[in-house]
Amino acid sequence: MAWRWGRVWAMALGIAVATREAAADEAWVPAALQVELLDKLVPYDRNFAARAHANPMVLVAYRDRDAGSEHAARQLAAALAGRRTLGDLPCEAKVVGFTSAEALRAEATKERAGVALLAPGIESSAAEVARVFTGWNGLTVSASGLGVDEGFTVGFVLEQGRPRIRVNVAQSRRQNVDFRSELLRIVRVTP
Amino acid sequence: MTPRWIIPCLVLFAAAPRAAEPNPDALERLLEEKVVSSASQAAETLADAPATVTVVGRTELWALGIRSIDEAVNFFSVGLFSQNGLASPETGSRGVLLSADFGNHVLVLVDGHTMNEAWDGTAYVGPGLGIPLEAIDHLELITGPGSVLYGSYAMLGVVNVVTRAGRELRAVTATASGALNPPLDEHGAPGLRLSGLGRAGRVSVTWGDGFELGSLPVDVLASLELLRHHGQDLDWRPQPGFTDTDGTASWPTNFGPNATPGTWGGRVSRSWYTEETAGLLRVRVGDLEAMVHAAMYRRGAPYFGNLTIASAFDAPESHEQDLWLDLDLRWRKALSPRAALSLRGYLDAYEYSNQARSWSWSTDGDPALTPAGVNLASFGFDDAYRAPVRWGGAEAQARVDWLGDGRFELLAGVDARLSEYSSHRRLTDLDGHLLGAYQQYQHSGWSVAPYVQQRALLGHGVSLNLGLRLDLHDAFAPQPSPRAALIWATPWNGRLRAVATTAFRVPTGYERFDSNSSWLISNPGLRPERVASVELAYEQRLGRHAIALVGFASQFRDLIRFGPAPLDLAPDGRQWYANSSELFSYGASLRVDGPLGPLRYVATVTASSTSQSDAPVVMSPAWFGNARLLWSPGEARWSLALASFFMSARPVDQAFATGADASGDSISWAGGTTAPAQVDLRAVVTGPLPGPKGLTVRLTAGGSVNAWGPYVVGPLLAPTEAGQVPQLTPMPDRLFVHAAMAWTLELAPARGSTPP
Repeated sequence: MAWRWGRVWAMALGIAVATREAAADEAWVPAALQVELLDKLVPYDRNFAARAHANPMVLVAYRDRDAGSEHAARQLAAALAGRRTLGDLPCEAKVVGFTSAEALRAEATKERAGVALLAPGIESSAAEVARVFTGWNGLTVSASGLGVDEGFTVGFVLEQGRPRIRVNVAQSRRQNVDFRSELLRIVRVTP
Repeated sequence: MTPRWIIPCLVLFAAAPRAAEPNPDALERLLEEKVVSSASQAAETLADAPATVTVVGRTELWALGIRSIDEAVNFFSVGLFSQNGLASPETGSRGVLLSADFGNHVLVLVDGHTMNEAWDGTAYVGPGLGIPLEAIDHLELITGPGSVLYGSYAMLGVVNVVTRAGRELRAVTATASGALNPPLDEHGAPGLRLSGLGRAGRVSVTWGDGFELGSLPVDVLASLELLRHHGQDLDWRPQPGFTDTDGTASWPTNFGPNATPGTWGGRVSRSWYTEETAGLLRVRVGDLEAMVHAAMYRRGAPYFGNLTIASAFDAPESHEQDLWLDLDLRWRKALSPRAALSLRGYLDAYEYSNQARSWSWSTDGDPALTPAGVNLASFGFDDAYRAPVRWGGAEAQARVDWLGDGRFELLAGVDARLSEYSSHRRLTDLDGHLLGAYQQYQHSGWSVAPYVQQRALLGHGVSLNLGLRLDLHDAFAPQPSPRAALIWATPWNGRLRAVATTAFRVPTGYERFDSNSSWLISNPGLRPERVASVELAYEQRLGRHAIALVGFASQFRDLIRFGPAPLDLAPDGRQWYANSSELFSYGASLRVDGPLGPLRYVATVTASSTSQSDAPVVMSPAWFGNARLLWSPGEARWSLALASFFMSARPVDQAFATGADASGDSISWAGGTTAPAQVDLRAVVTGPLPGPKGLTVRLTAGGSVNAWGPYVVGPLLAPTEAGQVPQLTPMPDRLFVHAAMAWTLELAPARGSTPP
């Protein structure tokens, strides 16, 4: 009997740790603040204005079949809908499920998106996204702040109770994002 | 001639929206926003929190030379303050400090885990907290009641220590530090001699990392620290004339081999010390998180007083010790895009113990002889007290986002807990032979507390936060703790916040059951204390500057105070803890902050008026605050900080104690019952050292302008004859220098430059 209960507890523990979904309440920069930061960040991209006129859509992606990730994405989309502009230019938001980087890029092209805002839960695909989005025209933004070293262009992270912006300069250039030098002095830069 | 098609194009062009220009001030202002999670158990900006919260980051703690949480409270918080009576620091809020409560009116959390133990509600904010500073990401200091989500103890405030994410650290950090304090004479003045210096040393090692285990994200944080402190020599003014009697004869009190019989006072050089060893391990794997914390906190105090155990003079054998072992396991899961569940289990073991080395006289011969004819022999004994405590419980919490977009979120949970404690006393002679041993009491109990909170963003910048918690205990009436908060973000960058809330504290096992034959009887019928509080706050941003004003009023009821027991219960004059006091406090806090060129300034001040029903208020300052100026040109460069903490004069803890003269008439102190205004100043320089990469040094020098603190020391806690004045504690950091060195070895390639 004891060994049977042992197996039950082991299975329960295994189920508890076996998921890699976005933690339901893991600390991240609140959605409304992220959107405000994005709004103030995009004007630092020299190519933003031209891109935004042609590609006003913001794709908000969540890890497919990840409830926590989808919840975060919908909060971000609601915050964007409340603003209606980014960098004083009109924008719209659309929520999509992330199944692969290729599918996301295809969706971004189809919807004329200039920003792909990636909800928590997609960080493990950062390198794949970077590879597929090289040559694309726009920002890939990590809402959890993770994955910037691995390939997202920008991330918002909480450090010591304050929001911080991480920028992957090299990947940004590969995605036709040309940040002004004055921005790079106040963000955390990944070469 | 201008083509006709040009004009419509020009009109269209003029009407087309233009992209915004970069606005560095606006971006930097957003990066100065603070995000808190303690006030609502959800991440929200400080401006949206339904409470007055101060956020202190790790780099701020380092930049100001902060060595423990009580220093952070004094130098950073709005409305909280701490006082150090050479024992464990005490914390007050908005002008109210309930001395000798051993920290049971402030709730202390580590990553949401309650640290207040289940026997006397104690949690320390000094070295006794046992959390290495290097493991801390930031502190959230909530001023005011916080029982709506956390239950008992959160009457004056809540301190939440948020630890670092291992993946953010990705390094091993080793820190070594030391401090020196000059000896203090009986006037509280620093002495100019090397002998008798106070010294402290601390080492810590912290490792943090994040990686993938197969497909699972893993985050690890481990931290250890060792602190040893030996206090500087202190000279106490002699307090003569103490005698002991057996009813027929009396002789000078025996204060031990380091004192003259009958006289307490002289130089203390051995009995003031602190030893602390602590460790923390936190592991996250997928949705599961586990925390283990262990700490040992042992200290000796250099005097006999209200906060310390009775002991012989300058006896290092007299000490107090706390042992902690805390386990916390939690699991979080998003069930759907609108609902999430978290489960938490916790188990804590704690033991408080103290040993008081005392001396007395043994007599032989005829007891009817006069003292001169009695052969007195000095003998020493140890009176050891021990209280082992265990408690554990489980908490289930559900979050429902009704609309799925964060605008209407419900939090509902229930926390169930069992606890058990006992108290033991043991008397031994100096050879360890047992003179007597007994268990005073043993008690077990339970509590169950459902709670609910609804947050709503109503539009037009208005948000509402309504919460209610109901604590059910086996021994007390149900305790409701409601909170209502309304916040309006004005169109002109201001924030108006109105909050009404209550909190409570259950009587502790020590207050209810402890007793002894000399000075204390038990009172099992104690009722919970309660506080009801309202606050109205307004914050206005002016570019990168901000000014905030908070008005508050609090009514405390059924406060448990130590005082004379009814004569029918204690005809021998012993005392007890009783629900004997009401207290009303009101006032305002002001905070300003912003940049001044390359500098950053912050200043706060709180003014309050406090009145108490049954006795004048002691220890509570009418005004206090802090101010700091920081010059920090960027990471990897030297920075300079100037900081101060100040507090108005206030009555000392025994200010209103009365005695009786030879004819039995009541007498009061002749003076010296007001601790002078306190002003602490410090200057800190910190920066990288040349040589190995990752080496940083910090130098701190500081002191107190005033010589005396608000605690009365010695056996003279009440006047025994006219003309007496109490002896007060000197300021523990009257003058000090402190040096720290930290070395960080990165485990992953450098992440690039960072902003200031």
